[in-house]
Amino acid sequence: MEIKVKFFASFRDKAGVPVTRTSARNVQELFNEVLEDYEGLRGHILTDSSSDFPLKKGVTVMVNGRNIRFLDGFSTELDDGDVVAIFPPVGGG
Amino acid sequence: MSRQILRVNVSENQIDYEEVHEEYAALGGRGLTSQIVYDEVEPTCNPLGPHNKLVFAPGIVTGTVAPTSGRISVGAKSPLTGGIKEANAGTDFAQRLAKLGIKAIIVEGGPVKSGYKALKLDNNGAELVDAEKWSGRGLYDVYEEIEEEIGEEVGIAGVGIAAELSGSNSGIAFNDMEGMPSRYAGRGGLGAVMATRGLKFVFVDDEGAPGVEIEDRETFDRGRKKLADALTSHDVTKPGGALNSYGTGVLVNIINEAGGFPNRNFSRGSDDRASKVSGEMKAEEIEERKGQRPHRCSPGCVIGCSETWTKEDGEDPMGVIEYESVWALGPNCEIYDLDTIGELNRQCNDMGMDTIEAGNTIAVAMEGGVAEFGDEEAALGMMDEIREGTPLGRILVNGTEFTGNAFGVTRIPTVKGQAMPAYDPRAIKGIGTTYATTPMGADHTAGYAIATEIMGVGGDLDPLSPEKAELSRNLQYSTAVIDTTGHCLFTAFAVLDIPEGLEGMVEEVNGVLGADLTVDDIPDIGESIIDLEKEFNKKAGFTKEDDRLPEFMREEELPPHNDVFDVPDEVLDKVLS
Repeated sequence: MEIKVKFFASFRDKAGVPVTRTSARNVQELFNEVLEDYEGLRGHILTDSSSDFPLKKGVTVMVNGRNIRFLDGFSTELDDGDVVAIFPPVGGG
Repeated sequence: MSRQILRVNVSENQIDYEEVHEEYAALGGRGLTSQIVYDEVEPTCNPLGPHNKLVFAPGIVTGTVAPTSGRISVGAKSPLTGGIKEANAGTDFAQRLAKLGIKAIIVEGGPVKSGYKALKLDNNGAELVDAEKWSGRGLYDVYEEIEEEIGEEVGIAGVGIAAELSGSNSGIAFNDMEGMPSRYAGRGGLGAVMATRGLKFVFVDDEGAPGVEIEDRETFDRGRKKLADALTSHDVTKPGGALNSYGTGVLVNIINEAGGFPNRNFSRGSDDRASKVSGEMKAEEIEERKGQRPHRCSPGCVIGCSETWTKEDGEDPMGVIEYESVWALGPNCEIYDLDTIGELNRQCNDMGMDTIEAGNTIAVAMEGGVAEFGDEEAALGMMDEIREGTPLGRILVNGTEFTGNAFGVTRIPTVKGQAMPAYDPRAIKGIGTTYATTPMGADHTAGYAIATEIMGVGGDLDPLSPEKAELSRNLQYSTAVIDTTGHCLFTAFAVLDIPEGLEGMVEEVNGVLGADLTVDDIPDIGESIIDLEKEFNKKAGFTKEDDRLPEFMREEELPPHNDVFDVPDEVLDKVLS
């Protein structure tokens, strides 16, 4: 099983790579794995909160183009071939 | 010195300074342009005929040290939509005009037989001077010549070849900080309204100007600080934040990932090639080419989202390529090359055209068989057709709907005749609700639901959910107020999340006007502006059936989410009712 994880904007610079891969089965596992490999990202993505959705304000995480806020949050399950996109706060228009 | 309204009739060679009516005293920007258009323009008039009027108005706080407030609004009856129009731009022209004590310029009158004129303003008064020598030429060269002739410290507003052709896609070009014609009140064909009144340029020299009077300095300063603190602390607007680091193009990747980035004339909501034209990619190229990033459109902007794009060798700076322009002239035409997009953008600036309308026009022309999607040379060739005024060029310069109809295209992405910006409403339904219902025609800036649906600013709503009437309404009202203050709409990213920032914006306005408005007044003020605009459109013949998206978007599923625009008509009818 392989999940593609894409970093964008300042997260790409902080991770040092645009893409990584994982075999996590859900978003929580994905963060556990990915943030261990890219420790510099942790404080920019997660809060210290013990809530079940400890994502920093403005950070967007999508699974196959759907924001995890509107899926099952950190419990969102992942399947082989899924694409996870992680964005810092962005704006424009 | 009290502020004045300048009324100009080029055909009569008449210029009058008028005292500001009491009912206009608390208005500026969009609130003022829409009020004057409502009061003085017959809604059923021909937009290019002698009864239309063009109104320029800086915002209420424009010209002060309020942060990120260098906006100028331009209003008229639109040749593109047939309804009321306000378009605004960030430029020092706005600040110079406000400092001269001019609350609005009203340009009226009919066609001029004796050639184009320029309105020259300074602290000693105003005069009309000959501008015919700059007719028929590209604006990059012309703006450089104007600076050489009258000096660099002058704000310039002007129209190009597209307006001289009376094209419904003709904007008004304002100078950027380098003097280039890259800051646009682009939408709705306002350039043609200016040209058909015989006016080619406005030059504003504010040397020795009195500046903007501030009735209550203490309140103003308190507000200014609160807003500046909000802008410099919010992750989107702060120095080193997303807009400052990558420009508006930082949206390419997130909208593409969300499946709402229209490719091939709104046929797909994402494409792997989009990353080639992303803000991240553009910022890297600008650094390599030694262009400028970040960059400010006007003095006093603390966000700095702009840039200066150049050719590959670092030559021929052309100003900013905004997110909307990258998309319209790029992926929407299946073009994924930043240099080609840059050249198309340069042509739009040079001829005085709105990039959103121009990109959509090329895309529907491609759909209609004029060229293959992705044919970069053909796209550039269409620009040549416009410049040469050929029959095809005369079709293209009139915009997306005109071109689509000319070539038998049924998938025309317009509302009220105006082409859609860079968000597909089938994947992001709040912005579709705004496209449908704003009096302006399809316009993302009228109620930028993307902030909440995609970026989580001011709340979180699922972009695929059709329940967006309240979101769109609230945003449309608050946007009308921001457009009236003279602040850039991007201040909304901060003030929607930081209540003190919004308080500060209101206190700045109170300081300038000596008023006692509160944050709670914002929805009512916004509603009153939009009610006026809707009333104008109703008198011009618009009905609720005009508040709809094109048929194909209600029936044709958009990959990758394979959804249609399913916001019911009854919901659309309730948004601004």
